[in-house]
Amino acid sequence: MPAVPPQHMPVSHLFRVLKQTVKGSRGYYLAASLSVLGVSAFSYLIPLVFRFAIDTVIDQRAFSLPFKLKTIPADGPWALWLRDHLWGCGVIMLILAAGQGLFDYCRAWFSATASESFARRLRKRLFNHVNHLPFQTLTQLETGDLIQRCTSDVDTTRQFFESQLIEITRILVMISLAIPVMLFLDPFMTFFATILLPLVIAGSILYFGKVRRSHKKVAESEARLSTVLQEDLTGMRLVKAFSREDFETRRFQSANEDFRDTSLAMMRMVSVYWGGSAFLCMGQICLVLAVGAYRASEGLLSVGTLTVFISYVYMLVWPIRMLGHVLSDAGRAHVSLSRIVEVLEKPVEPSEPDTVRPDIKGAVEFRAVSFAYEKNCPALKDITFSVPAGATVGILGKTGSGKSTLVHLLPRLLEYSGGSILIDGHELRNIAREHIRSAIGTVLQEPFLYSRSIRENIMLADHAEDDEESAEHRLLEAARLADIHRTVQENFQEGYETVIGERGVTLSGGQRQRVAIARALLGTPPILILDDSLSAVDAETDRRIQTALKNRHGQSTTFVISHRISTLSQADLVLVLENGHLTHAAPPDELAAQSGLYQRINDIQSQLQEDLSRADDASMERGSKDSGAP
Amino acid sequence: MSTRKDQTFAPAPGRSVLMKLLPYAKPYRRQFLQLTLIMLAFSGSDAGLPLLSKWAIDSYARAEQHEGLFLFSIVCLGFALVRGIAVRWMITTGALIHTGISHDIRRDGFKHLQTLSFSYFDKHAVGWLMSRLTSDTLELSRMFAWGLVDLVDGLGKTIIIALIMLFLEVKLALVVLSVVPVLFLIVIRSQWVTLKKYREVRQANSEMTGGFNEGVQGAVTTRTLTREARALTEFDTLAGHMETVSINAARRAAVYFPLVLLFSTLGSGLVIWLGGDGVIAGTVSYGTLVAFVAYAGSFFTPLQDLAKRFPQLQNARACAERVFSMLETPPDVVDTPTAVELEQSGHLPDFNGNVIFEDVSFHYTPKEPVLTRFSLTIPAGGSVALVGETGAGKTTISSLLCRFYEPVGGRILIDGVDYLDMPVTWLRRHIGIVLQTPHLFSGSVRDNIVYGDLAATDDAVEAAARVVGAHEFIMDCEGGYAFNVGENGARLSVGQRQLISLARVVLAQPKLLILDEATSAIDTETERVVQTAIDRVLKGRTSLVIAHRLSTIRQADEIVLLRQGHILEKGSHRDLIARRGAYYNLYTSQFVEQAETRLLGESS
Repeated sequence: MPAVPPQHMPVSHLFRVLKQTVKGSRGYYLAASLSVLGVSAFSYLIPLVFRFAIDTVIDQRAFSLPFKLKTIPADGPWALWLRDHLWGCGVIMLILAAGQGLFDYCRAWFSATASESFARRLRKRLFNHVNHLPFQTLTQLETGDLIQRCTSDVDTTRQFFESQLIEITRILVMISLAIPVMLFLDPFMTFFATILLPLVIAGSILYFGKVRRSHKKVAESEARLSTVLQEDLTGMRLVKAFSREDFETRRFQSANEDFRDTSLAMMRMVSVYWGGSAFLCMGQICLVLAVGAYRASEGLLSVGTLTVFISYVYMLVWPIRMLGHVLSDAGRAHVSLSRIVEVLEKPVEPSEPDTVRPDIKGAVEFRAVSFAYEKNCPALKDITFSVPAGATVGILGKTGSGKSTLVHLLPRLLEYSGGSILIDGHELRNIAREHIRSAIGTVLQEPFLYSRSIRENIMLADHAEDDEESAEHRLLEAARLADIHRTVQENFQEGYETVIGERGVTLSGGQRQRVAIARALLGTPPILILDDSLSAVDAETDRRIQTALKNRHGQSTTFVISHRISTLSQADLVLVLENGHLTHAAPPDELAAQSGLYQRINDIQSQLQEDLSRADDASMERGSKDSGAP
Repeated sequence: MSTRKDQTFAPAPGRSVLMKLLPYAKPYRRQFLQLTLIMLAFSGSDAGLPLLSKWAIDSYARAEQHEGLFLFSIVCLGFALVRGIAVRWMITTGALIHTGISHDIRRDGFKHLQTLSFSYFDKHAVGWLMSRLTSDTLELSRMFAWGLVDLVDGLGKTIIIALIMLFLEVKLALVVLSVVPVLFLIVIRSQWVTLKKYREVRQANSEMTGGFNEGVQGAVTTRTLTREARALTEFDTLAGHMETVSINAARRAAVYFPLVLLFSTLGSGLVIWLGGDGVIAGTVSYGTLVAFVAYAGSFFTPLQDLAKRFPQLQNARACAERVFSMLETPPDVVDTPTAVELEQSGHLPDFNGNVIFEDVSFHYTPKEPVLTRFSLTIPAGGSVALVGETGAGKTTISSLLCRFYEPVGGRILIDGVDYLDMPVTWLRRHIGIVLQTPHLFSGSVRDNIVYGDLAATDDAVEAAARVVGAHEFIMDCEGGYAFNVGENGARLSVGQRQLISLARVVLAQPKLLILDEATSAIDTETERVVQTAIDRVLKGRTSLVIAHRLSTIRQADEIVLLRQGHILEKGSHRDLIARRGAYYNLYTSQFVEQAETRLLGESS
């Protein structure tokens, strides 16, 4: 997979673009954050209950609730009852644990709902966006990269929202809950209980920056290793033919050793951080123990309060230690989100308020039409011709002469920049896009088939809502015209129900083209475009399909890009394109008499005869005796 | 239920696989021992922490004196240091094992791959083989290193804590330990459920990704069919299913932590009840009570880490089985004893290049024969062109000649001797091959040409490049012969790659040349250069050409037209044209096609 350099967009910008998509999840996020608050609150209460049990119930000291809310005397009825029924303290702890558990369950549920529904909306939005990108943008985008953005990048983002965002919230909530309680219990101890935490946080952030660079090195080394491996495997014939097995092994070994060494170097670096932070965290706990022991021995701290400090510090240090991890994941999510937003910011086909939806018959007229993919670099210049409805137009030209560009103008996949195109007298620009597209059957050069049944593939564009019988009739008619019916019946056991593609059978290039033609013919479109769509079928089948198209009922205006004389000679009009210019536009028999590309193609047959007679002459010279061998 | 079901799907007990792995672990014996000791120290420091609390409480807090507190502080510092050092050392040692073992398996795997024959590479896609040597080996060795870490930590910590508790207070210890089996069951159950649910999520995810693939790849088609709205609805169904399944899985998995918490707290509660009574009665110290409460809550993490390893272990075993299935595939093109003897004696015969296929049969799978009793003679110095449709068996014939495969029946004679009796290296030293799609390795131009003869001098490399007319464009590249061609030669054009692969074969000076011509034409200018180069290379050599270009076909001494592994027609161009048969049809349609491409393919 090609490594695309990380994109960083300002976070505020990301949120502006994604505002609508995030919106539906905000309520669940709030609920998840509140659950985190609940979890933290309950988890902090449990040590306090334990403190109460030790100090007040067992040791019989007065118990004061935080912020002087209330003081429970050690000789009050509560404490005395509990002293005789110590299991009561256990029950209180169990209830609190149940509360913590319940909130934790809610936290998981809400955050999953929030992030999954966000992901779903994001996916849907991306899918829809891609479906409305202009044709030109689509052809420029790299499919693999686009799919990666729509799948794995969305997933990275989802994970961030599901876990890392909640984790950051948790750390913030825990710190802001723990500090006030600790301050109330013992300000002096609070100072010693938190003094090392900033160091751990600083270390985390430092680590986050460093490890990214080191990761990159390892990834590069791994990529080199895969390259050597892949080149060896794909070039195995050469390796063996030249007996270079040992040479290859040496080459691989050097990459292999490098990968091992860089990975190890990275892990060494990682170990310094984890070792250091383990030392600091453990040190923080031990500091509380030592200072606490001293203060308690002086009578300034109760045993219960000491255990509360130990528990709180324990609960605080480990999440804080993971901060580095969380931050590095957040960095990854940032890159992914930027890549997603980049796609979403590509402009879609503009909407058009004032369009007409005339009944399309199929008369087409080009008046001085021009088109350019890039400024000052016209792909079509000054194209003028006109054909009546039902005519067949052959298009001939060299690679890059503008043939495909010309036919792509008709379904408005590309928008002409100069001149005018009239469909039945209506300016094409003013006809609604989906209206003209559904009136044109387009067969692309490399047709795309969905991995569904052949029937579904042909019937995809069938919008008519009527009974099954006439639908079946339309299917069979289209399939017969495209000369695929016999193939389907004879070659595929399940006939039209045969599933194509990844999950089913593989069709040959010619079969794919014919299915695509059947699909385009369905519903008898007034205009039909065949963009070199029969290149993979043999000349005989090609001729059969052309004849069938010509003779059928309710003929379409047909544009055929082809280099086969047999096809072109059947057209009513042949357009010859050179370098974006229309050099010839005439019926085929006239063109055959004019010097030009059409004539040169036409001459191939006579060249062939010449070539063959050369061979025949040669063998005649040698005598006809040995040419008649069986 | 699910547990049992999952086990039946799992591969058969893999003790043998583990045994096979042992040799790879052996060089790291010291590191394994080291790691075990480190982990024991680590778990010990973890398990000992509540003891520190007990000490602080009983000796200082309750005693209300601080004599010896300095010693206590030193011990505390020691604990922190031990932990820090243990973590750092654990990671470096674990990484050493992890990267080391995966390196070793990759080394052996690669070496072994070089010995395997083509029937193996036909059955396994490049991507499949690559993941065996990359992700699988990493996964496998990860299990070795970090699996051990978690095993020692999980088991060690549980045992140490149990011992400490039993030593401190037997009755309380038994109470706390009674909760552990329940915790263990919950943890295991949660692993299986999560795993099963996660499988559903993956399934939904792959369906949804499939929908995305189709949406992106078929975006233009969707547009021409104006079915954007329907496509979106269809996709949303898949995305919605993914959402439902994922949330469901998250909810199911979330049930277990609260349960664990509840049972851990039950342990603490029991400690407070029974231990508290003891404190009041004076039989249990405050410190012991605090320590036991801490212990009651500390079983969960090690148990969970341990349980997490079970599915990973399954996975690692599957990886190991795949890796070993590759490592254990016996190479099937090996020298016979006769050939080995011949090689050792050093009396290898000269190679003249007289090739005879004698009733050769071949198939990849017995059901689908490719060649049946195929016979062909290539006289030394002669040239044979193979023509025919894709799948007619042309490539198979050239591969058999290179001994990438060996005949299933019949013999191939080189200068009158069955080539199975000769060393493979002897054969290949004298055969040169030019592939249809030229293959270059990343590295310099020189590296790629010198592949034909590793001992060649720079002058010889340049001379070879001049023969095929590649010298000029090479000198135009930055750095000349040192120019880096990029991965798979991506920085050169197809034509340039073809010229370099020809230069490579010229340098190797083979007696017999096998050439697989490119089917698709490149631009006319390059085409002409490549064609001239090919003609020059073929001149005066025994050659077998899988021919597509008409000029190459016409120039061959003999043309063999194949159809489904049989020779349909055979003879010179003149004879075959005169016959007006299959060759005639093939030739005429090729003629028209190539002429059309010549006229239209040129971009202006």
